Amino acid sequence: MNNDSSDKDPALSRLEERSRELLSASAASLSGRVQSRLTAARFAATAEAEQRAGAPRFRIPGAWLPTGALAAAALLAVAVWIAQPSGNSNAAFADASPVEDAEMLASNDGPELYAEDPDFYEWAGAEPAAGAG
Amino acid sequence: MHCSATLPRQELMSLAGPDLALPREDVLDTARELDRFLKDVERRAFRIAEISLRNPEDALDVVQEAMIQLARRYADRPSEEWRPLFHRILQNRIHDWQRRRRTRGRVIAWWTGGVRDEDDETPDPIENAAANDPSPGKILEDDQAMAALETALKRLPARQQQAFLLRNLEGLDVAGTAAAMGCSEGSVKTHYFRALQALRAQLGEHWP
Repeated sequence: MNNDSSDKDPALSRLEERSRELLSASAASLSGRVQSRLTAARFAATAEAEQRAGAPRFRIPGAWLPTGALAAAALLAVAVWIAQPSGNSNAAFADASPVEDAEMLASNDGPELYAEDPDFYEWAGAEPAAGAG
Repeated sequence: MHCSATLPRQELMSLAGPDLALPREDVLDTARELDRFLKDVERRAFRIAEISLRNPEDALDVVQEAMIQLARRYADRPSEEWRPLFHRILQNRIHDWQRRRRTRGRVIAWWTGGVRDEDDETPDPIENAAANDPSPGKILEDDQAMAALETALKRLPARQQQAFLLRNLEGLDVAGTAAAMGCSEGSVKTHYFRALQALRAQLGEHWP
Protein backbone atom coordinates (compact mmCIF):
# COMPACT_ATOMS: atom_id res chain seq x y z
CA MET A 1 0.00 0.00 0.00
CA ASN A 2 1.08 3.55 -0.58
CA ASN A 3 0.93 4.94 2.89
CA ASP A 4 1.12 3.59 6.40
CA SER A 5 -1.77 5.71 7.55
CA SER A 6 -4.07 4.49 4.81
CA ASP A 7 -3.02 0.90 5.53
CA LYS A 8 -4.59 1.26 8.94
CA ASP A 9 -7.80 2.79 7.73
CA PRO A 10 -9.89 0.58 5.42
CA ALA A 11 -11.97 3.55 4.26
CA LEU A 12 -8.88 5.42 3.10
CA SER A 13 -7.55 2.28 1.45
CA ARG A 14 -10.79 1.87 -0.48
CA LEU A 15 -10.65 5.50 -1.50
CA GLU A 16 -7.09 5.03 -2.77
CA GLU A 17 -7.94 1.92 -4.74
CA ARG A 18 -11.07 3.38 -6.30
CA SER A 19 -9.28 6.64 -7.14
CA ARG A 20 -6.45 4.77 -8.78
CA GLU A 21 -8.89 2.71 -10.83
CA LEU A 22 -10.88 5.73 -11.99
CA LEU A 23 -7.85 7.88 -12.77
CA SER A 24 -6.21 5.09 -14.77
CA ALA A 25 -9.42 4.55 -16.71
CA SER A 26 -9.72 8.26 -17.46
CA ALA A 27 -6.12 8.37 -18.70
CA ALA A 28 -6.74 5.36 -20.93
CA SER A 29 -9.83 6.83 -22.59
CA LEU A 30 -8.57 10.13 -23.92
CA SER A 31 -10.12 11.55 -27.06
CA GLY A 32 -8.50 10.94 -30.41
CA ARG A 33 -7.68 14.62 -30.74
CA VAL A 34 -5.83 14.71 -27.43
CA GLN A 35 -4.00 11.49 -28.24
CA SER A 36 -3.00 12.90 -31.60
CA ARG A 37 -1.59 16.04 -29.99
CA LEU A 38 0.33 13.95 -27.47
CA THR A 39 1.78 11.79 -30.22
CA ALA A 40 2.90 14.87 -32.14
CA ALA A 41 4.51 16.27 -28.99
CA ARG A 42 6.33 12.98 -28.43
CA PHE A 43 7.65 12.92 -31.99
CA ALA A 44 8.90 16.48 -31.59
CA ALA A 45 10.66 15.58 -28.35
CA THR A 46 12.25 12.47 -29.86
CA ALA A 47 13.47 14.49 -32.83
CA GLU A 48 14.90 17.05 -30.45
CA ALA A 49 16.82 14.32 -28.61
CA GLU A 50 18.21 12.95 -31.88
CA GLN A 51 19.23 16.38 -33.04
CA ARG A 52 20.88 17.24 -29.73
CA ALA A 53 22.76 13.97 -29.52
CA GLY A 54 23.93 14.08 -33.13
CA ALA A 55 24.66 17.78 -33.27
CA PRO A 56 28.15 17.95 -31.67
CA ARG A 57 29.71 16.27 -34.68
CA PHE A 58 28.66 19.17 -36.89
CA ARG A 59 28.43 22.05 -34.48
CA ILE A 60 31.16 24.63 -34.00
CA PRO A 61 32.35 24.40 -30.39
CA GLY A 62 31.65 27.52 -28.39
CA ALA A 63 35.35 28.02 -27.60
CA TRP A 64 36.08 28.57 -31.29
CA LEU A 65 33.51 31.33 -31.74
CA PRO A 66 35.78 34.25 -30.67
CA THR A 67 38.58 32.93 -32.88
CA GLY A 68 36.21 32.63 -35.80
CA ALA A 69 34.91 36.14 -35.25
CA LEU A 70 38.46 37.53 -35.19
CA ALA A 71 39.38 35.65 -38.35
CA ALA A 72 36.27 36.97 -40.10
CA ALA A 73 37.08 40.53 -39.02
CA ALA A 74 40.66 40.19 -40.28
CA LEU A 75 39.45 38.79 -43.60
CA LEU A 76 37.05 41.70 -43.98
CA ALA A 77 39.79 44.21 -43.24
CA VAL A 78 42.07 42.64 -45.87
CA ALA A 79 39.24 42.62 -48.41
CA VAL A 80 38.52 46.31 -47.81
CA TRP A 81 42.22 47.16 -48.08
CA ILE A 82 42.57 45.27 -51.36
CA ALA A 83 39.42 46.82 -52.78
CA GLN A 84 40.77 50.35 -52.27
CA PRO A 85 42.07 52.04 -55.45
CA SER A 86 45.83 51.63 -55.69
CA GLY A 87 46.42 55.25 -56.78
CA ASN A 88 44.66 58.37 -57.69
CA SER A 89 45.67 60.84 -60.35
CA ASN A 90 45.28 63.86 -58.11
CA ALA A 91 47.45 62.27 -55.45
CA ALA A 92 50.04 61.47 -58.07
CA PHE A 93 50.18 65.07 -59.03
CA ALA A 94 50.38 66.17 -55.46
CA ASP A 95 53.36 63.90 -55.05
CA ALA A 96 55.14 65.35 -58.08
CA SER A 97 58.62 66.40 -57.13
CA PRO A 98 59.71 70.06 -57.21
CA VAL A 99 62.30 69.07 -59.82
CA GLU A 100 59.58 68.33 -62.33
CA ASP A 101 58.03 71.72 -61.61
CA ALA A 102 61.40 73.41 -62.23
CA GLU A 103 61.81 71.62 -65.56
CA MET A 104 58.42 72.80 -66.62
CA LEU A 105 59.15 76.38 -65.70
CA ALA A 106 62.50 76.30 -67.44
CA SER A 107 61.12 75.02 -70.72
CA ASN A 108 60.30 77.25 -73.63
CA ASP A 109 56.63 76.41 -73.46
CA GLY A 110 54.61 79.17 -71.96
CA PRO A 111 52.68 78.53 -68.75
CA GLU A 112 49.47 79.01 -70.69
CA LEU A 113 50.02 75.69 -72.43
CA TYR A 114 49.85 73.84 -69.14
CA ALA A 115 47.07 75.98 -67.75
CA GLU A 116 44.69 75.54 -70.66
CA ASP A 117 43.88 71.87 -70.46
CA PRO A 118 43.82 70.11 -67.09
CA ASP A 119 43.22 66.77 -68.82
CA PHE A 120 46.69 67.10 -70.21
CA TYR A 121 48.13 66.84 -66.76
CA GLU A 122 46.33 63.60 -66.17
CA TRP A 123 47.54 62.22 -69.44
CA ALA A 124 51.08 63.41 -68.80
CA GLY A 125 51.08 61.82 -65.38
CA ALA A 126 49.89 58.49 -66.72
CA GLU A 127 52.05 58.43 -69.84
CA PRO A 128 55.49 57.54 -68.37
CA ALA A 129 54.01 54.61 -66.46
CA ALA A 130 52.33 53.29 -69.59
CA GLY A 131 55.50 53.71 -71.60
CA ALA A 132 57.54 51.88 -69.03
CA GLY A 133 55.14 48.94 -69.20
CA MET B 1 12.34 12.68 -38.48
CA HIS B 2 10.64 10.17 -36.26
CA CYS B 3 11.04 7.41 -38.81
CA SER B 4 14.72 7.23 -37.97
CA ALA B 5 13.73 6.23 -34.45
CA THR B 6 11.64 3.32 -35.62
CA LEU B 7 13.22 1.97 -38.81
CA PRO B 8 16.13 -0.45 -38.54
CA ARG B 9 19.50 1.14 -39.27
CA GLN B 10 20.22 -1.17 -42.20
CA GLU B 11 16.98 -0.16 -43.84
CA LEU B 12 17.81 3.51 -43.35
CA MET B 13 21.26 2.97 -44.89
CA SER B 14 19.75 1.35 -47.96
CA LEU B 15 17.28 4.22 -48.32
CA ALA B 16 19.80 6.96 -47.72
CA GLY B 17 22.71 5.73 -49.78
CA PRO B 18 26.35 5.54 -48.77
CA ASP B 19 27.09 9.28 -48.84
CA LEU B 20 24.45 10.45 -46.38
CA ALA B 21 25.60 10.65 -42.77
CA LEU B 22 23.15 8.96 -40.39
CA PRO B 23 22.83 9.42 -36.65
CA ARG B 24 25.03 7.13 -34.61
CA GLU B 25 23.53 3.89 -33.33
CA ASP B 26 23.66 5.06 -29.72
CA VAL B 27 21.75 8.22 -30.66
CA LEU B 28 19.04 6.12 -32.29
CA ASP B 29 18.89 3.84 -29.26
CA THR B 30 18.39 6.80 -26.97
CA ALA B 31 15.70 8.22 -29.24
CA ARG B 32 13.85 4.89 -29.32
CA GLU B 33 14.06 4.52 -25.57
CA LEU B 34 12.89 8.07 -25.01
CA ASP B 35 9.99 7.45 -27.38
CA ARG B 36 8.95 4.38 -25.41
CA PHE B 37 9.20 6.25 -22.12
CA LEU B 38 7.16 9.22 -23.31
CA LYS B 39 4.55 6.94 -24.84
CA ASP B 40 4.19 5.25 -21.48
CA VAL B 41 3.76 8.45 -19.45
CA GLU B 42 2.06 10.86 -21.84
CA ARG B 43 -1.58 10.02 -21.08
CA ARG B 44 -1.18 10.12 -17.33
CA ALA B 45 0.91 13.27 -17.59
CA PHE B 46 -1.87 14.89 -19.56
CA ARG B 47 -4.47 13.96 -16.95
CA ILE B 48 -2.27 15.28 -14.14
CA ALA B 49 -1.82 18.56 -16.00
CA GLU B 50 -5.50 18.75 -16.95
CA ILE B 51 -6.69 18.25 -13.38
CA SER B 52 -4.13 20.77 -12.09
CA LEU B 53 -4.77 23.42 -14.73
CA ARG B 54 -8.48 22.71 -15.37
CA ASN B 55 -7.96 23.30 -19.05
CA PRO B 56 -7.14 20.63 -21.66
CA GLU B 57 -5.42 23.01 -24.08
CA ASP B 58 -3.14 24.39 -21.40
CA ALA B 59 -2.47 20.82 -20.26
CA LEU B 60 -1.42 19.77 -23.76
CA ASP B 61 0.94 22.72 -24.03
CA VAL B 62 2.48 22.00 -20.65
CA VAL B 63 3.00 18.31 -21.40
CA GLN B 64 4.62 19.17 -24.73
CA GLU B 65 6.95 21.66 -23.04
CA ALA B 66 7.91 19.05 -20.44
CA MET B 67 8.63 16.45 -23.13
CA ILE B 68 10.81 18.83 -25.13
CA GLN B 69 12.63 19.97 -22.03
CA LEU B 70 13.36 16.40 -20.97
CA ALA B 71 14.65 15.55 -24.44
CA ARG B 72 16.73 18.70 -24.65
CA ARG B 73 18.37 18.56 -21.26
CA TYR B 74 18.22 15.06 -19.88
CA ALA B 75 18.07 12.60 -22.78
CA ASP B 76 21.67 11.60 -22.09
CA ARG B 77 20.91 10.74 -18.47
CA PRO B 78 20.21 7.11 -17.48
CA SER B 79 16.65 6.23 -18.44
CA GLU B 80 15.84 5.22 -14.85
CA GLU B 81 16.11 8.89 -13.93
CA TRP B 82 13.71 10.09 -16.60
CA ARG B 83 10.45 9.50 -14.75
CA PRO B 84 11.13 11.67 -11.69
CA LEU B 85 12.91 14.24 -13.87
CA PHE B 86 10.00 14.40 -16.28
CA HIS B 87 7.49 14.85 -13.49
CA ARG B 88 9.67 17.45 -11.84
CA ILE B 89 9.71 19.43 -15.08
CA LEU B 90 5.98 18.90 -15.53
CA GLN B 91 5.21 20.11 -12.01
CA ASN B 92 7.39 23.19 -12.50
CA ARG B 93 5.64 23.98 -15.76
CA ILE B 94 2.21 23.53 -14.14
CA HIS B 95 3.26 25.82 -11.32
CA ASP B 96 4.48 28.45 -13.80
CA TRP B 97 1.18 28.34 -15.70
CA GLN B 98 -0.86 28.61 -12.52
CA ARG B 99 1.19 31.60 -11.40
CA ARG B 100 0.81 33.30 -14.77
CA ARG B 101 -2.93 32.63 -14.69
CA ARG B 102 -3.25 34.10 -11.22
CA THR B 103 -1.36 37.20 -12.32
CA ARG B 104 -3.53 37.51 -15.38
CA GLY B 105 -6.65 37.02 -13.25
CA ARG B 106 -5.59 39.79 -10.89
CA VAL B 107 -4.94 42.15 -13.78
CA ILE B 108 -8.29 41.31 -15.36
CA ALA B 109 -10.07 41.68 -12.01
CA TRP B 110 -8.45 45.07 -11.49
CA TRP B 111 -9.26 46.13 -15.04
CA THR B 112 -12.88 44.98 -14.94
CA GLY B 113 -13.55 46.15 -11.44
CA GLY B 114 -13.54 42.81 -9.68
CA VAL B 115 -15.35 40.55 -12.16
CA ARG B 116 -13.75 37.09 -11.97
CA ASP B 117 -12.49 35.10 -14.91
CA GLU B 118 -15.12 32.45 -15.61
CA ASP B 119 -12.42 29.92 -16.61
CA ASP B 120 -11.51 29.47 -12.96
CA GLU B 121 -14.95 28.27 -11.97
CA THR B 122 -15.21 24.66 -10.90
CA PRO B 123 -17.22 22.62 -13.40
CA ASP B 124 -20.40 20.91 -12.39
CA PRO B 125 -19.61 17.18 -12.00
CA ILE B 126 -23.13 16.05 -12.87
CA GLU B 127 -23.16 18.16 -16.01
CA ASN B 128 -19.75 16.84 -16.99
CA ALA B 129 -20.72 13.27 -16.39
CA ALA B 130 -23.82 13.62 -18.53
CA ALA B 131 -21.81 15.26 -21.31
CA ASN B 132 -19.02 12.69 -21.25
CA ASP B 133 -21.03 9.54 -21.41
CA PRO B 134 -24.77 9.27 -21.78
CA SER B 135 -24.83 5.48 -21.42
CA PRO B 136 -26.54 4.03 -18.34
CA GLY B 137 -25.43 1.64 -15.63
CA LYS B 138 -21.90 1.06 -14.48
CA ILE B 139 -20.29 3.38 -17.00
CA LEU B 140 -22.44 6.27 -15.89
CA GLU B 141 -21.73 5.48 -12.27
CA ASP B 142 -18.01 5.51 -12.99
CA ASP B 143 -18.28 8.77 -14.85
CA GLN B 144 -20.11 10.37 -11.98
CA ALA B 145 -17.61 9.02 -9.48
CA MET B 146 -14.74 10.30 -11.61
CA ALA B 147 -16.33 13.71 -12.01
CA ALA B 148 -16.84 13.97 -8.25
CA LEU B 149 -13.27 12.85 -7.63
CA GLU B 150 -11.94 15.35 -10.16
CA THR B 151 -13.90 18.16 -8.58
CA ALA B 152 -12.60 17.21 -5.15
CA LEU B 153 -9.03 16.92 -6.48
CA LYS B 154 -9.22 20.39 -7.98
CA ARG B 155 -10.16 21.79 -4.60
CA LEU B 156 -7.10 20.36 -2.89
CA PRO B 157 -4.13 22.57 -2.10
CA ALA B 158 -1.55 22.28 -4.87
CA ARG B 159 1.01 20.22 -2.96
CA GLN B 160 -1.58 17.73 -1.71
CA GLN B 161 -2.97 17.44 -5.22
CA GLN B 162 0.52 16.82 -6.64
CA ALA B 163 1.32 14.16 -4.07
CA PHE B 164 -1.98 12.38 -4.63
CA LEU B 165 -1.76 12.39 -8.44
CA LEU B 166 1.88 11.40 -8.60
CA ARG B 167 1.29 8.50 -6.29
CA ASN B 168 -2.12 7.27 -7.44
CA LEU B 169 -2.15 8.17 -11.12
CA GLU B 170 1.52 8.04 -12.05
CA GLY B 171 2.29 5.27 -9.55
CA LEU B 172 5.46 6.81 -8.17
CA ASP B 173 6.67 5.59 -4.80
CA VAL B 174 7.42 7.98 -1.94
CA ALA B 175 11.03 8.54 -3.04
CA GLY B 176 10.06 9.16 -6.67
CA THR B 177 7.29 11.52 -5.63
CA ALA B 178 9.70 13.41 -3.39
CA ALA B 179 12.14 13.75 -6.29
CA ALA B 180 9.38 14.96 -8.60
CA MET B 181 8.03 17.43 -6.07
CA GLY B 182 11.44 18.60 -4.88
CA CYS B 183 10.76 17.95 -1.22
CA SER B 184 11.53 15.37 1.46
CA GLU B 185 9.88 11.98 1.69
CA GLY B 186 8.40 13.03 5.02
CA SER B 187 6.71 15.98 3.34
CA VAL B 188 5.32 13.69 0.65
CA LYS B 189 3.78 11.41 3.29
CA THR B 190 2.25 14.36 5.07
CA HIS B 191 0.82 15.92 1.89
CA TYR B 192 -0.48 12.58 0.73
CA PHE B 193 -2.20 11.70 3.98
CA ARG B 194 -3.82 15.12 4.22
CA ALA B 195 -4.99 14.75 0.63
CA LEU B 196 -6.63 11.43 1.46
CA GLN B 197 -8.40 12.90 4.46
CA ALA B 198 -9.57 15.95 2.53
CA LEU B 199 -10.88 13.80 -0.32
CA ARG B 200 -12.71 11.55 2.05
CA ALA B 201 -14.27 14.56 3.75
CA GLN B 202 -15.34 16.04 0.41
CA LEU B 203 -16.55 12.86 -1.26
CA GLY B 204 -18.33 11.46 1.78
CA GLU B 205 -18.56 8.00 3.25
CA HIS B 206 -20.62 6.57 0.40
CA TRP B 207 -18.39 7.53 -2.50
CA PRO B 208 -18.26 6.03 -4.99
